Order: sequence, then structure tokens, then C-alpha cells
Amino acid sequence: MISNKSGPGSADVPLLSLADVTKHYRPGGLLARSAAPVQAVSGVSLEIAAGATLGIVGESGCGKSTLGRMVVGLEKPTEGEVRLRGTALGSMSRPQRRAARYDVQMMFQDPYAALNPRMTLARIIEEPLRAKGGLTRQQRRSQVRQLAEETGLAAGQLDRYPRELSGGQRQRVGLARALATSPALIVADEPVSALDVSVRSQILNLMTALQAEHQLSYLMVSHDLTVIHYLADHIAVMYLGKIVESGPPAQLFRSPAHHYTRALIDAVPEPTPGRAAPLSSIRGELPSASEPPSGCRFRTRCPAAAALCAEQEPPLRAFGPGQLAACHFPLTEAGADGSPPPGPQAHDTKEAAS
Amino acid sequence: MSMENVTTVLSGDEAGGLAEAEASGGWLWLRSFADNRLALAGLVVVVVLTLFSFLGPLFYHTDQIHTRIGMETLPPGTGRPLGTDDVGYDQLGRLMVGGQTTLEVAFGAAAVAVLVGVAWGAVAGYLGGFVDALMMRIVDALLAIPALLLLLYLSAVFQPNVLLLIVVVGLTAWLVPARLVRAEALTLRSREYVLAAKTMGVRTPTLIGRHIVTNSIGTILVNATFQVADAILVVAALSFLGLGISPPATNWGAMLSNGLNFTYSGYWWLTYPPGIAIVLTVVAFNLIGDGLRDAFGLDTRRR
Amino acid sequence: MKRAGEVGGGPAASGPVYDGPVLRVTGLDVDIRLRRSVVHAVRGVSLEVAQGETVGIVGESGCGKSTLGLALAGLLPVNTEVRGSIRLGDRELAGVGERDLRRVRGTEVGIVFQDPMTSLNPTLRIGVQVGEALRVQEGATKAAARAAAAEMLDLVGLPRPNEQLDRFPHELSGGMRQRVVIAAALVCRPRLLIADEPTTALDVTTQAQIMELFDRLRQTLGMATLLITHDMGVVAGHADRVFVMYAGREAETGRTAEIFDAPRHRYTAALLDSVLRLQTERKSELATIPGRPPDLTVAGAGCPFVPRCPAATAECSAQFPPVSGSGSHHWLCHHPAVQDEDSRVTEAPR
Repeated sequence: MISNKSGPGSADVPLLSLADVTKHYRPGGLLARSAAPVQAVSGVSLEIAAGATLGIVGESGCGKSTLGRMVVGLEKPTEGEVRLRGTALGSMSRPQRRAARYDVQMMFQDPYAALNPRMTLARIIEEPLRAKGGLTRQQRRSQVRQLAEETGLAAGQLDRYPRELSGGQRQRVGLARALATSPALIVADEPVSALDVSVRSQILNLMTALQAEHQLSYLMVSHDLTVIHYLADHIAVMYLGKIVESGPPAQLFRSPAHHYTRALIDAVPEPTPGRAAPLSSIRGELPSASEPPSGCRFRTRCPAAAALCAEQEPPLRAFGPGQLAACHFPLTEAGADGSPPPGPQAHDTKEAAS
Repeated sequence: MSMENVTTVLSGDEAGGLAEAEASGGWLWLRSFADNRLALAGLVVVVVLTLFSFLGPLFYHTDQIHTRIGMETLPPGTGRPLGTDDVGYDQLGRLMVGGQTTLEVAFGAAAVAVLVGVAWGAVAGYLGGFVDALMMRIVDALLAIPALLLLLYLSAVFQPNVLLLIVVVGLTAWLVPARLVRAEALTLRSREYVLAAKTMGVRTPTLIGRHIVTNSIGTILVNATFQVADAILVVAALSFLGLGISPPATNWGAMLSNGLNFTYSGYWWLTYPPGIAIVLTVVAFNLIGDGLRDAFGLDTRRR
Repeated sequence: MKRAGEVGGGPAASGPVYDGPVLRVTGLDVDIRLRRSVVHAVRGVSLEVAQGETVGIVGESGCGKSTLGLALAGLLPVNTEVRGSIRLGDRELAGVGERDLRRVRGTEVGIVFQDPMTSLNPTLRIGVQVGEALRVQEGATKAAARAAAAEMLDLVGLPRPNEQLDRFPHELSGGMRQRVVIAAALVCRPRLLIADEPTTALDVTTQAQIMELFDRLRQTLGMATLLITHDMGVVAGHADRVFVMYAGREAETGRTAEIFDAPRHRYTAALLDSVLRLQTERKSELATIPGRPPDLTVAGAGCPFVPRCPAATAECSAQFPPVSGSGSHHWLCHHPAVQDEDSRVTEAPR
């Protein structure tokens, strides 16, 4: 298990944990039954503590969005469990699951598609309150006003429609809506990727402020390393449905163990002229998720791949405090190459590879 | 020319600023529509004909119940702007009464078709999977039945009144809006605001109504106008074949069909007025439908 | 800066060899006529691109950079009005009819758009699409076009190019599709390549590969490139000069190092401050630019950045700033920023 132990002494039970979660999609239709399933997520285990931010970074097809959807309850895992405060979502009764819904909300990527174009802002933010029930119209109205204020929206804008707003303002509405039911965790799927640079910082500042104010946890999903590095207390790097490396940001960026992590870091376009842009070390194309490579899934693009990588899937091993990576020939020293993890870290680690 | 010209070409928020420059609220399509002269003309024609049919008799009193032997097929003259028909009814008054029936059935049938079709299509498209397949196969099967023949059969067996006609015509016409709305629902159900509603625990019927149907309103409205036009033609066709509503009630189609018996007698006032009325109304609704389609930008990619 | 020895042009302009800038834009205005208003998308833009040079046009949404790109490619919609001069080599393009423009496009100007999904026709094979310009513009035979297409696909780094010729776009990944689009744009060896956000829709590792490809192609083919993007990092690593736009107008121009190390226009400085980097301190308060870009339907007289600028004065609202600066570095700001030793922006002396 990857612990996200940051902030004040976390309770014994983490706010959210994923235990060996897998999501395989069967291609639809009666005739396609025999086709190979799309392995979107395979054997992922993670934890998020209250008030902390877990960042999941990876490129298209890595499964991070699917993971986010499973946490929020939009999808059910084919194997494994998503646990909220220790209780698996799958084993909850219907009313329990409804209550759990309000505890985990989502903020979407595309500000233009995340809001119903035919609803006013007020109604958009109010919708979760109406769904939850238990409040009078007056109470809902005042809640909406408060949420708007907290997220930096002018009260006068509440009667407008999304098309009149800029991308940044729309994301504020998305955030206000996600906050409406006072959730403990917000899954933020690429929340700033579609925004302008200067607006990005506005929204990130807002997210940080709200986190402090409400003791929120974030599950931040993004392909943008700079954003993840900025916001996350703990990072997990995903490739083709599996976690290939995880750890605290400073460490991960200073000494990544996995070649994919290294490639991601190298690929970040630095706004510093004259710095020789490093040649991208990975080549080739992303393999199909329905036919992932044998052994280590990254081997088809890895500069250090060898025969062993095709035969045996590397397990997640410890590389320093809180850092785990799955690689036979990592960039830095593990406890030892290829040998089982040494002593003290064993408590925190778990073989998450299936 | 709609704003979509520019928005499809410019990327991202460059268009967002333009939207602000244009209009506010969710009623942009109304402005677009209002700028379309042909569509407005269509709307005016429909309004005028509706007023003519329903308010006309208040100003122009004629007896449309009792036939008047001895007053048949009189040409237009003083006191009878459009002459009389073959049983003595005043033709102008008949046109008004006929218009009432025609428009009632047309609007009514369109309403039935749209209500049933939208509900069916939205549910099928949103739920997807087996339910969708089943529901749409039913639609496919029903589409295979020629509507007109079915209506002929029903009209011959049951003596229809206005209400029955509305229901029957509507129930043969709901298949098209069902397909259209189902297609919209398929697209919309993976939109992020629909996913957001799901995560908040909005119940499915509410979700379909609030998010799917309201965002298909463009397609629905356009189709509704064409439904009205089609219904008029269907009723006219039925009456033409001698079926449909029985006298003293009448509709434009019946008047036309009746008048055609006298073509060679030169009684033009029996055929042209109802014929022109039908054509005007159908064309007007088509123009409105086209105008709405342009206003909603349905033929181009839209946000 | 690499200069191409032999710059391949389209139907070669016979006559004296042209030696000046590949592209020279002077006083370009683009107005977009909407139903009830006019959007001044581009105002008074002047820029030059030398042979073999890459100029990055940067700005945020609504700054007019995409409109500028479309204007230069001659691809603006009908409800636009263009004023000013666009010279490609020694030929004036502004006001030229569609037929002549079509000849220019594809042979002398290549265009790469943002979304590789929609840039390719899903029903045509790759080989056909890449070779299309050759067949249409230069009347090449099918075989010749096919051979040229294969050569281009190889040049852009597609593995087994001969096999790819007969595949359809949906069989390729996003990165490969973008390579195909680039191949199609360059098959006639144009003098100028306009790339509008060529990597925005791609993964970051693919983005790096594509930008590397652009660098390599620049060295091999020697074309001038106009790189339109909102990504400061991409510009920093791959552009020789930078042209910063705001609200349809030029804000600042200069060599990449000049712009990034010593930005003078307040907008440039604020933009660079707000860019998130790996070095940005985690969870710190990020610099932002308050407010929003202005409404482009209003053709104001003063500097458009006034409502958001920390150094704005009455002069700024009254009069649009003149060009200041020297050499390769120009800015249009009444009160430009001044860097202290640590390259931090401080208040300019009044």
C-alpha cells in the first residue's frame, strides 16, 4: 500500500483507499465477446489521507481517468475494492452508497462541457443540493451564494449562463458545484489543463485555499507534471493501467527510479531558453490496452529494456522513504537490484502488481 | 449566417469572448431566428392562418351546420366572398371551420408524436445497452408498417373524430422524433455535465429531463414543426380518399377533395382556396423548421 | 540560427533570387463581422520571418494569434475583412483571389493545425492525402506523388513508410497522425510552415518527439516556421524569436533569450511570472494576472492591458504606446518593466 501520510496524525483508517483495483472493459456486443478486454486499470492500490492531495500522472491510455471515475462511483471495478473510510463501496447498501456519493465529488476537465449550457449558474451549483435533499429553497439559495463567494464568483453572475463566462470562471463554477455537498474528497480530473496559463494559477490558488479551509483531500489526475508537482503531497505515475512509480514529489523529481518517470520529467517543456532540450529517451508508440506487452508493460519503449523485462513483470519495490518503483533496471539504487525489499519499509509496501 | 462560422474556425476561448459580444442567456437562437426573413414570413403566415381559422368566425358569421338547397355552387359575389360549395355552405366560412380542424389535428398530432417520441428516444439513448437495443428494434419494426395504409384501415373501420384522429396520426409519427432524440441522447450521455449530475446522485428520470431533453430542444423543435406539416398532409390525404372526419365537420383536405369533383365545371372557388391554404401552411411550417435548424446551428458542429 | 543553403520553393519564381525575409507582415488588421458587432481580432500587427527562422507567436486565448495564423494562410472565413500587407517573398498575398491563394497554399506555405483527428480525411488513405498537394499543385503523376509521399513519411519519422501509405488515419495514434499532417504540409517543400498549436492535443512525451521533429526538419529542409502556441515552454525550447500578442496587438518581440530573461512589456512579464514550472515552490501563492482579456468588439484607443496592469497611468489609457527598444528587441509599453539583478520585475522609474 502506498501511504499518503501527510498532515496531522492520520487516523488508522485512511479516508480513501484502493485495494488491488482493476477495471477491464469487455468490448460490447454479442459478436465481440471473444475479443480481448481493454485493460484500463490493473491492480492499483493507493491511499489518501484526510486533507492531503494525491496526484496521479500519466499520459493518454494510462487509466488515470478511469481510476478517477471509479473513485467517484461512476464506474465499478471489475476486481478489487474502493474503500471509503474503510468500507468498500461495493458492499454498501443503496442508502449508504448515496451518502458516500456526497462525500466524494468530481471536478471536470473541460470547462465547456462540464456545465449544462441551458442552466443558469445558480441552478448548476444548486443541483447537488437538490439531489441531496433536506434543505428548503431559501437555504439552498443562501448556500449557493456562499459557495459562489468562496470560489470567487460575483453574486450578480449567478443568473448568467455558462456561455457568457470564460474558461476560468467556469472552472470556478465546477469547483463550487463540487463543494456543494461538503465532500471530504474531490477528484479533480485535469482541472486546469484547458485553461490559459495566467488563469491556471488563479484556479490552483483557489484549490489550495479551499483545501486549507475545508480540510479537503484531492485526488488530482493530470498529464501535466508541473501542476502535479505543485499541488500533490504524494504522486503516483501510471502507465498502461499500472502504477510504475510513486513517492513524494521532491524525491520523485530529484531521483526518479523508473525510466518512464524520467522521460516524463525530461519532456516537460521548460520556459527557460537556451537549456538544451533533452532528447526524448523513449521511442515508439503506446501499445494497445487490450494487448499489453508481456512482463513489464513499458518495455517496448524503454531504453533500458532487456530480455528479463519481457519474461517477468517487475514488482513494486522500495527506493528510499515512501518511494516505490516497478523496474528491473531502475535508474537509482533500490534496496538492492532484483532482491526483495529490506526491513523497515516492508510495513508500508505491498506487492501491488498482479 | 450563424456565429458558428467563426466559432468553428477559431480555437477555444477566442470564441468565448465573441459569444459575450453577441447575446446573453440561453435564447440566442431566438435572435438568430428573428433575423431569418423567410422563417419569420413562415411564422407570420401560420399566425395569420390560425387567427383566420379560429377568430374569423367571430367576425364572419355563417351557418356551417345546415345545408342550403338552392344555394349550391354559387360563384363569389356580394355576401359570399368565396361563393358556396355543393351543398350550400358558404365557402369562406367553410375554409375557417376547415382550418380549425386541420390545425387542431396537425398541432395535436405533432404534440402527441413529439411527447411520445422524445420520451421513448431519450430513455433508450440514455440507458443504452440492451434496453436501448430492444426499444429501438420496436421502433424499427413499427417503421416498417406503412403509416398511411394503417391509417386508411383504421379510418375505414372506426369513424374518426378529431380526438381519435389526433391520437392515431400522432402514434404513427412518433417514430422519427424517437430516433432523433435517441441519437442526441447517445451523444449527450457522455458529456461531462451529465456525468457530474450522476456523481451528485441525481435520479435518472430527473437527469434525463433536465440534462438530456433540454439539450436536445433544438432537434426536437425543428422536428416538431415538420411534424405539423406532415400531419396536415396526412389528414389531407385521408380526406382525399374519402376517409377522415364526417360532415358537417370538415378540413381543408376534405374540401379540396370535394372540390376536385367539380374541376370540369369550372367552380374554381371550390378547389383553389383550400388547396392554397394547405400549401401555404405546409410551406410555412417547413420554413419555420428550416429557420430553427439554422438558428440552432444544427447542421454544423456546435458546442 | 540555421540558414538554409537551398530553400526549396513551390513552382519556382524564376528571375532574381529573393534574399529578404520569407514573410513580411505590415500593419495587418483583421475584423470579423458578426451579426451585430465587429470583432477586431488583429490590429496593426507587423512582423517578419527570415529564411530558416522559427518565430513563436505566443499569447493566451483571445489574443488573436490563431486569427493571425489563418490570415497568413489565407483561410479566414467569408465574414472577415483584412487590411494591410502580407508579403511572402516578393509576392503580395493580401487581397489576392482565392485561385491564386490556393496555389500558394500547399506549395509555398504549409499549414499544420492543432487537432490531428480532424486534419485528416478519415476516408482517404494516408498516401493519397500526403501526396495530394503534389498532384493538385504540380500535376505530379500518381506514382511520383506516392514516391514523394513515402519519402516524406520517412522524413517525419514514421516506421516502415511504404506500408503506412495504404493505411487509414484511424489506424494510427495521435502522434503518428500529427506526423502525417506535417508530412502533408511539407511535401511540396514550402518556404514557410505555419503551425497552429501543433502539439497541444498530444501527450507530453509525444509533444517532445514532435517538437524534436520540427527542429530536425528545420535543419533538413530549411523552411521558415511560424509557431503559434500558448505554451511558453515550447517556445523557449524551439523558437529563435518570440512575438507576444495581447488583445489582437503586438506586445513585445525579440529573440527568445531577450524575451524570457528580460521581458519589458508588463503583460510579458506577468505572463512569465504566472507560468508554472517544476521549480515553482510547491503550494506557494502563485502569481496571477487579475481580470480578463478585453472585449475585442471595442476598438479602444489606449493600451488594451490597462485594466490589468500594475503600472498603468492615464497616458496608457489615452494613447496606444509607440514602439520602443532597439535591435532585435521591441516592445509597445509606456512604462516597461525593468529587471533587477535577480531578474525580478520591479517598478519602472517614472
